Amino acid sequence: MKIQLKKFLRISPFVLTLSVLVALAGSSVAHAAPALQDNGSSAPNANAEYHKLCTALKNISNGKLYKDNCHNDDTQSHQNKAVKNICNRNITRLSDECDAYDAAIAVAANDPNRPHQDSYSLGTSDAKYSCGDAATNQSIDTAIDFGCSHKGPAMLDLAFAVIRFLSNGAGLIIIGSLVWGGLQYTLSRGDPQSTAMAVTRMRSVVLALFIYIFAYAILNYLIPGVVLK
Amino acid sequence: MIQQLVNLLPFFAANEGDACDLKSGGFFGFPTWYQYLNGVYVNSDPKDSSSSLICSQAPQIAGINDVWLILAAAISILLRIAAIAAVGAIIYGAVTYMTSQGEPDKTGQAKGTIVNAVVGLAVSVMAAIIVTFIAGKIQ
Repeated sequence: MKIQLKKFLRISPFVLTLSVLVALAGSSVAHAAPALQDNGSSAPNANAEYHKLCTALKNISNGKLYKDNCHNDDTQSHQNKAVKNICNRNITRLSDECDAYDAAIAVAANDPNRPHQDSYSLGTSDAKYSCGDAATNQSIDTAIDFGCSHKGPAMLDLAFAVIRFLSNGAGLIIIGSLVWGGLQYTLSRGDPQSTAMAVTRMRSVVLALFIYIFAYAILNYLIPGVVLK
Repeated sequence: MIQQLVNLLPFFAANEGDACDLKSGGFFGFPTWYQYLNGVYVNSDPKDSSSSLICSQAPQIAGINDVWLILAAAISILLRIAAIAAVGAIIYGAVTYMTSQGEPDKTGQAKGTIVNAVVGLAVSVMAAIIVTFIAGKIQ
């Protein structure tokens, strides 16, 4: 049991970081999702009502729209036939218009002169953030802000951004770990065993600090001013 | 769902003043986890029923680097916990000292408790200074 707990405590920072990242991505995607629907404003004749109607028309096969719009009850008398005809005609006209609307959107989507839209983006045409140089058409859209520098190829830019992100946090994690070690030391109550555990933690933290500093220095020496600036 | 959860947290955190005012957050004198986040989402229309917000404002996570701002706030919460724990440990040590009845074994342990509490508090408080000192020496 104790070993299990230890193992869990060892991996928990990674799990925590990962879940925070996933949560970040999830929340920003969820944030972006409502904006996606009224993105059709680039297409002609587009508004929310029209879009709604057209999607409703696509569900016409179950006859729901027919009943909703035409208030037609089949059990009623002879007048209904004329009403039905008018309704059918209207629906045909509407569905024709909807086809035209869809075609217009398709044309707009394939327009080469459209403002920046990359083939790599996963359908989020209104993504607020991007990585890579947009001028040379090497950029990708991202749902969350990685802090990219918008230079060079996208994947390299993204990798540098992630390295920068981790490097920003290393110092904080080391400080937090040292504080935790101090707390452990405080609560050891003069027990040599738990004091030794706290000392081991603090020693590891200082070792980690040295490793981080040397990694930083070597990286800065190899690629000066590119990765960490 | 995450957005809703995030909106819920200041509601629990604030025990004084307006629950929706992010500046008045705090619980037992602990700082809030979002104190360093500089983005605050403000709902322009508070009566907008389509919005999932409970309050008209909520802490906003603008980018991936804001994770470290949350971590910094967590460290400042941890520092306060360390101070409280040190005070508790010193009191515990003092009580064991008082009730040791002159037995050298118990007296030694009580002394050890108090010394460890002070050393641990010093390490916790000076953690930031130690790290910046070592980093400054190396570079």
